[in-house]
Amino acid sequence: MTTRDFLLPDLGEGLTEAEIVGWLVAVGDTVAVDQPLAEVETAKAVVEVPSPFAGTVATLHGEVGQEVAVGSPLVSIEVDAPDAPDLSASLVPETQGDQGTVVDDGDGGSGNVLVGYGTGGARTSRRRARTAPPGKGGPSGPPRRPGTPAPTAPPPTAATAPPAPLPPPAPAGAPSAPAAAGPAPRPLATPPVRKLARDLGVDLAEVPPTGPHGTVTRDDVHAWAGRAAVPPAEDYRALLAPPSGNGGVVVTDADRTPLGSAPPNDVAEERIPVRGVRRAISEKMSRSRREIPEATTWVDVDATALVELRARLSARHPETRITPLAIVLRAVVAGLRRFPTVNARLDGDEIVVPRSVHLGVAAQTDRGLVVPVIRDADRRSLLDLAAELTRLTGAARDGSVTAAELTGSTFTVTNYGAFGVDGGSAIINHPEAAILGVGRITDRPWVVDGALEVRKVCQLSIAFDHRIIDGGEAAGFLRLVADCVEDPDTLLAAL
Amino acid sequence: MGIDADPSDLLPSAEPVRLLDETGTLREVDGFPLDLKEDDHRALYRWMVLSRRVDRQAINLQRQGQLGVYASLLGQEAAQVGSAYVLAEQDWAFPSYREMGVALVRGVDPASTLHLFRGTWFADYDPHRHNFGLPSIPIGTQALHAAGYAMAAKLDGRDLVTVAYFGDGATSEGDPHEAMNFAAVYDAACVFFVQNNQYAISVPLSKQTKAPTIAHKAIGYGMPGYRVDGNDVLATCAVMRKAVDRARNGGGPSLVEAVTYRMESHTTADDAARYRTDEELAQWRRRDPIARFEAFLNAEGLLDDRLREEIDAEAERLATRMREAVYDAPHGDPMELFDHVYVDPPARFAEQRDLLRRELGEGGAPATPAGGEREAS
Repeated sequence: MTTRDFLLPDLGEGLTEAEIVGWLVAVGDTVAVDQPLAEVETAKAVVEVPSPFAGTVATLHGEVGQEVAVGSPLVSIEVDAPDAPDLSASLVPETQGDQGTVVDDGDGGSGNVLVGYGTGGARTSRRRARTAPPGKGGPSGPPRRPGTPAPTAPPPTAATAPPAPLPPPAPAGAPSAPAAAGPAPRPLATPPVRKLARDLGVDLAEVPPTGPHGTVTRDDVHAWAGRAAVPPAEDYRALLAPPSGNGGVVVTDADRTPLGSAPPNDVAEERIPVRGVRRAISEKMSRSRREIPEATTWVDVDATALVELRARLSARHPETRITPLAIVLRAVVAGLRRFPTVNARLDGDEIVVPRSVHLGVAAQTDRGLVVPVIRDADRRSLLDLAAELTRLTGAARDGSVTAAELTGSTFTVTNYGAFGVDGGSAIINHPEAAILGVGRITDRPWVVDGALEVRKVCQLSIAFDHRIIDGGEAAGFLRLVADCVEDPDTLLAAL
Repeated sequence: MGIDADPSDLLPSAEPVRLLDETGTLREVDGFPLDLKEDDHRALYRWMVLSRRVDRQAINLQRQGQLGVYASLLGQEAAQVGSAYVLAEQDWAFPSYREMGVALVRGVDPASTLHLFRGTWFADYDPHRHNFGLPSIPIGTQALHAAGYAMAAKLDGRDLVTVAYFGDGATSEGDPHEAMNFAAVYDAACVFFVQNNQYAISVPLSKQTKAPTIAHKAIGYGMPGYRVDGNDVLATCAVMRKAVDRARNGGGPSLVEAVTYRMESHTTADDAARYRTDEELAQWRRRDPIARFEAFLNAEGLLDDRLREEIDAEAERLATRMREAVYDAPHGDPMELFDHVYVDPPARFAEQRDLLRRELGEGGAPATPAGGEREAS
C-alpha cells in the first residue's frame, strides 16, 4: 500500500485557491478513478472534483468552508501498489487500423468498429520515426512524446523506416523499463531541472520532490545541493525548541507557534480566517488609508424639495424605482462634470482624468461590502440611472453581479444613511480621488426665510485626496451637489 | 449584375428541418431523403455515446489538473456526429476547439486531441492522415482554411469536399464572412457547418446578429442556407448529405445552421449559471440528442441490451486509454517549439531559439540578448 496525494489543481485558468463546499467521500471509503471526491468553489464556479486514483481515502485535507491553495493536498488516497498505473494496465492494446476500413475486432461482437482508433495494426507516427537531433539525448535519452510509450530500442534512423511494433501504451510517469522487477522509477523532473541536477552532481532520485505529482523542481535541486549548509528541517526545529523543563519566564521566538500551523483557538475567543470578499475589503481599505492623505468636509442640506421631486417622478414613472439616492447620483454627475479632478485619480506623477463617469455605489450584501459600478453615468438619464442602480444593487445582493460590474469606477458614493445614521467619514475607494457619503433623510428643525420649520434634512460628506484636490474644489463640488438637492432647478441648470 | 434565378430558393425553411420529433418518432421531410441503413443507425448511436464518454473523461482530466482547460461538446453530439458521418474518406473537416465528436468519426484518437489542452504538444495527430485539421483557437479562422483548401482542390482537380466547423459566435467575426464570400464566388466545394449552440461564451445569439437566423445570412453570399435541428442526428445527416452532395457535384458551397445547445459551460473555466437560467437548461435537457435517437432505435428494434452494453464497454475502454495517454504526460523538450515553424528560420527567430536554449542551459535565469541589442520599436 502506498499513499498518494491529490493536489488541488487550477480548476479555472489562473486560479489560486478553492473553498471546500462539501465532501462527497469520507475517510475509509473506497473510491474509483473519476469518482467525485468533493465539491469546491473557486472564484469562477462550483465544481465537483473527481478522483485521479483508485483506492481508499486516507485523509481529507480540510474542513467544509476551508480554503485550499492550488497545489496543496486535497485528498490523500491509499492505492494498492506503489508506482502502479492508476488504471487497468491489463487493457488490451488498441492499435490503429487504417482509416475508413472496417476492422473486425475479433471478439465476434457487433462488428461495429467502423473507422479510426479501433482495433488492429500498429499505430504509426511520423514524428516518432524522427531521429534525435545531434546533441540531444544523453544518459536519460530523448524526451518522450506525450502519450507515446518509451521506446525499448533505439529509434529507427530513417524517416522511411517501417514502424516497429510497440508495446501497449504505458501510462506516462510509469517506469519506462519493461521488466516487472526493474530498477526504481525514474524521478519526475523537467529536462532543464535534470540538466541542473547533473551539473550540480545531484542524484535526482535522492531529492525530495515538492512539485505537482511528485516532480522534482529546480528549487528542490538547489535545496538538496545546498543541504550541507543548513541543517535539515527537523534539526532546525529542534534547535529552536525551548529547553525542556524550562520553568523560567523568558519568552523567545521559539515558544511561539511555528509558522504555518494555526494557533489553537482560545476558548474565550473565536478566530475567523480573513479571506474572500473580506480579505479584498481589508486590503483595499488599508491601502486607501496608507496611501491617500485624505481630508473630509460635510454639509447639512434641506432635502425637502428632493423628496417631493422623487414623489412626483415616482407617480409619473411607476415602472421605475426612483430612490432619493438616484437623484443624488444625478447631482453627483453634474458636480463631477463641473469639477473633473474630483472624478480623477493620481497615478505616480500624473493626474489621470477619465473622460467618462463610472459611478461606484457601495452596497451591503450578505457576503460583505461590494461596489457595483454604473457605467457611463454621465450619459444616462435620471430614469436610466435609477433603473441601473436598482438592477445592480439587486444583482450585488443575490450574487449574480459579474466581476466586470464590480470594477472600473471613477468615483464612489456610499449611502450610509441606509443604516439610519446621519454622518460618517468614508474611506476613499482607492485609487479614486474622492468619495461622497449620504446620510439618512430625517425630519429636523430648519430655518426657512427666517422662520423655524420642520424639513427633510440630510447630511452630505466628501472625503477627498488632498494631493490632487484642494479644499475649495472639494467644497465647490459638495456645495453644487447640496444645491441640487435643495433646489432641483439648480440640478436642471447644471445638467 | 442581375438576378438569374429566384433568390428566395437560397433561404432556409421556416422551421429547422427535423426528422425525429422529441419522442423519437420519424417523420420524413420532402427534399431531405434519408439514405441510411440499419448499420448506419447503430454506428451513429455508437459515435454519439463514445463522444459523450470521452467528453466526460476530458472534463475529469481537467478537474484533476491534467488539462489546462477543456471545451465540452455535451449536447452537441448529434450535430457533430451526424455532420461528420456523411463525409467521404477524401473529404476534409476543419474544426474549432470543440469538435471531439467530429474527431472521433474522422478516426482521430481522442487522446491525441487533448495534448493541446494540456500544453504538451499542439496536436498529437497527423491532419493529413485523417483529413481533419488542427484545432483553431482563434475564432473562425478555420473557415478560411476550409474555403481555401476547397478552392485549391478544385484547381488541382481533386474530388473532395471540405467542411468548416464553427459556432454561432464565429459568425460575428470577419474570417467566416470572407471565407463564405470567396467560397461562393469560386464555387468551392465547401460546406459551412455552424453549430448554433446559442451562446458565444456568455453572449446570447440575440446580441450577435440581427438576421432572422444564421442560415439567412447565406443568401447574402449567394449560397443556399439550411437550418436543421442539430439535436436530431438523422436530420443533421440528411441536410448535410444534401449540402455535401451539392458541393461534390459542382454546385458550390452551402451554409448549414444546426440549432443545438451546449449543456456544459463554455469551457471548464466558465460558469454558465451566471448567464443561463435553469428553465432554459431543463428545456434543452428534454431535447437530449442521444435519448431522442435511442427512443427511435428502441422503437425500430435496432438496439438491444447486448449492443448497448458493448458500446458502453467500448466507451469505457476508450476513456481509460485517453486517461493513460494524457495523465502526467511529460512536456518534452521546449526547444521543439522552434522545430516546425519555418523551413528557413529568419534571423530573429534563430536569436529567440538561442536565447531560450541559453536560458534552459543556464538554469532558467533570465538572459538578455547577446550584445545587449534591443529591437527597434
